[in-house]
Amino acid sequence: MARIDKSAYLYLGLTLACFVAILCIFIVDGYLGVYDTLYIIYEEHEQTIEFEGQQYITEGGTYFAGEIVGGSSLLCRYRIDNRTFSLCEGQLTVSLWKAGNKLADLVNREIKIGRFGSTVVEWTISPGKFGSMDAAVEEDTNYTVKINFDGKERRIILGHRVRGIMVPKPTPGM
Amino acid sequence: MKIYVLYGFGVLLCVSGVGYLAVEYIRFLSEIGKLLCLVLVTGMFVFLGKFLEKIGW
Repeated sequence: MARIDKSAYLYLGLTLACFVAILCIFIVDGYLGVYDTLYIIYEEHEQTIEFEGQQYITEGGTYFAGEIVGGSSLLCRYRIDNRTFSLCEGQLTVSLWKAGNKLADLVNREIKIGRFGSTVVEWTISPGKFGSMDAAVEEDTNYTVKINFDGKERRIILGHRVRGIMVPKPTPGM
Repeated sequence: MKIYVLYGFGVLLCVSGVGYLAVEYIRFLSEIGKLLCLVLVTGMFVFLGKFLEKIGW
């Protein structure tokens, strides 16, 4: 059997060290941490926004949540996963904004999540929360839902259309 | 020569498979984490190549 050079084992050790380091990065950077997910349920459809997963992200770190038609309510389910070895606690505030003005507070409560635990908070956005609008002028308006927790602010753009799309009635004689 | 071409394909398939699985399951890596992983993967293949060279492959 040919004698193997000692430096070969050094290279083998370095290869294994790189492999172990990659696995450590996957676990520490890719799994551990506090992650939040928003589920938006509207008209029996559910949309998921994973804030760390860079889905639906637009310029300035804002997410687009879709559009609702006046008269219908929207159910939001916000899930926070604490994948750390310590207790995660803080004030969760959710508010509805338009053009820099706060229209309504949707949630304001203290949250405590144990190690490797999770919690779910639900709220509803009903048409009354959008405030008074002149339907003749503003048929289609965008609002921002701001979620603040653990020093992070999540912004979601929500479109609100006052009237649904209607098929025009046929004109007599045509 | 043919056998080396087949080995090359095998290695490429292994690397692309591992990369695909990493992208699918490790979704929350930060930018610096991705960069470090890239550097470490490159280093891993370089050292593996040197090891194989030293043992006479």
